[in-house]
Amino acid sequence: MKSVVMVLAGAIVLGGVASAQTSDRGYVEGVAQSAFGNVTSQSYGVEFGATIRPTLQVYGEFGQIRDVADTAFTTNASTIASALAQVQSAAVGFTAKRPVLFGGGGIKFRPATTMKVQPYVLGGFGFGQVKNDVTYTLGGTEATDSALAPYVTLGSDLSGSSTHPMLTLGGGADVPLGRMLLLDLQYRYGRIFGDEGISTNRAGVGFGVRF
Amino acid sequence: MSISHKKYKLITTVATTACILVTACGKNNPSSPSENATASSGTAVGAEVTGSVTVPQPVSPAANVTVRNADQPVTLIVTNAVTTKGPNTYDFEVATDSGFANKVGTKTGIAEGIGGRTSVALDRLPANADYYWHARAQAGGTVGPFTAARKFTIGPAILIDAPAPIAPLSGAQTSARPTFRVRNATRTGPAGAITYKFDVAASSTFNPLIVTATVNEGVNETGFIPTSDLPINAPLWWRATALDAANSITGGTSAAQSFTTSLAIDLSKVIVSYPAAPSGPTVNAWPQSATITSVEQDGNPAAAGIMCIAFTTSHDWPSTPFFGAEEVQVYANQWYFANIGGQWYGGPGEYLRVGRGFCKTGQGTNAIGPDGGWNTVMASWAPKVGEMVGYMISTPARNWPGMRTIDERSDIVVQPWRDTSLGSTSTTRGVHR
Repeated sequence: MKSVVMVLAGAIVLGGVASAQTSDRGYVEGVAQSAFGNVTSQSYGVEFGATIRPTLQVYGEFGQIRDVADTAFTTNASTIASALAQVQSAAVGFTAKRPVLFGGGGIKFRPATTMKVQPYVLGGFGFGQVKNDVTYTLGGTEATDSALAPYVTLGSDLSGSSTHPMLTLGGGADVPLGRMLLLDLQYRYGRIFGDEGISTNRAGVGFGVRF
Repeated sequence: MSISHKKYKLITTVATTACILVTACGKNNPSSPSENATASSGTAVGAEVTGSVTVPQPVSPAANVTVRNADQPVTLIVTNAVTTKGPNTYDFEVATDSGFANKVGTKTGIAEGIGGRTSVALDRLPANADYYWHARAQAGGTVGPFTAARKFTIGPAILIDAPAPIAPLSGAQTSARPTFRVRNATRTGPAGAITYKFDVAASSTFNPLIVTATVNEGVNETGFIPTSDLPINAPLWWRATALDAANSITGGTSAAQSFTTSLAIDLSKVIVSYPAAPSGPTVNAWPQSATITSVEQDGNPAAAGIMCIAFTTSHDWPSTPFFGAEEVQVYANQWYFANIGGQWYGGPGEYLRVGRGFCKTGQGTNAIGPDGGWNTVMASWAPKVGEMVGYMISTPARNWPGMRTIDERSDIVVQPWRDTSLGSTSTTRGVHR
């Protein structure tokens, strides 16, 4: 967080120096975020966009949230781990994560402003692929599929992946860094639809170039 | 303001990227380990989220146990499986091979039991064979794994045949407490101790029962004597059933036999109705060294009132002159007994001469009483056809102690009076007393 603050401060200073020279046809940036909600994790990805009007941009993004596991998911994994301990003799351990690969695009509205910092709000639609990444260990060794097969059949609640539509809403502020560089302070709310809807929250920074 | 060609290319790029990232939108794609489970399990059904299911644990029968055939049906018991979604149901399978290629019993969709266990009773399985069983749970659209196969054995079948009646057979006349005898039932298989249930009833349907009792098996044959008198002069039926209580097996039931009880004669209580004869208690004390083998009589005057009481003796009975006549040697007397008003009366009748057989005449239906020289009650006795009459043989007892020899006697036979002039058609059979 400290580094984010330092980057933000520097960007504002540099932005003030070069705002008059900025390019505004589009941008590409890398994004690093803190994901929070069900569980705190990280998210990273790439965002890009093009200016279609002075106040509008279309944008696209793809990336990964490392874990969106909720309590029910973790509890189910734990329940099965406990049961495994009852039906075989080896010590049982487990990890349970739900990484999400996402991608999509939408519209970014950038109201006219006299400030050097350009605020924006956005809304987009895309897809989120949720992977149920549960790993069990038996006797300290990761259990293979064949090792688990005699004891449990994992359903789609704890295994495999599923892809669902994903809504993205968010906002932020673009801070120009000289003529070409860009710092994007952003927040994104995501909703992955499906049998068990998943909400995501991401807040972080993007760093990229403008052209 | 129109969108430039470059801007359209950017939009297209965004969409393309999304499509590359996304495959099979909206579908669940379960991966390991469920998709690597057996072909019949682990596959998610439909697009809904499916639950995870563990294997149940087999409880009973224990591995490699032998179940007595008599203890069927076998009940399979498992500890309940764990699921993450919805209630479990269970499938049980039984086969003659560990690979379950030859299934002999399948129970599916069994609701989960309470108390952490689920059980199902199998249908009866053929005896004397090995079986394998396993079970699995289903829940939340997921079929769980089968338990490891467990073997059990059904023991050999035990078959117990019906015992064969020995006595009394149909048509017999018996005392009020006859001995019911059967030849022991044959059996196959590891039978336990056999007992026999004897039933006596007043009808061939054996409902209601008059007497029923279970006795232990004897050597070669098994008998039962009622502890109280059966109904007198009544047609009765009896049967016996072999039982193996340890194995809860009921064997065959013997063919029902009909018989008739007759009045029992307690010689010590008989009123001797001849003026010169030993009393009932006295003659009752005489040694029984003779056995009656048959009684054939016909009260028909046309048959001369024939009375033949055949008997054997364990040793020779001495003879004595008939009232001093050395040329007329007698050695025995016939005895007759009449039940009059519930009391047995009787006395010595005809003398038997040496070398003259055991048949006497003059015992017609209307002659046996008046012509016997009996006391008052018996003197007017005229037996009816079918009336139970007793017979005995003794050493000379008429005019006793005159012509007294060794004072010994036979048993007593009671059988229905017969008179072919009054409708009797068949020869009756005697019963020893």
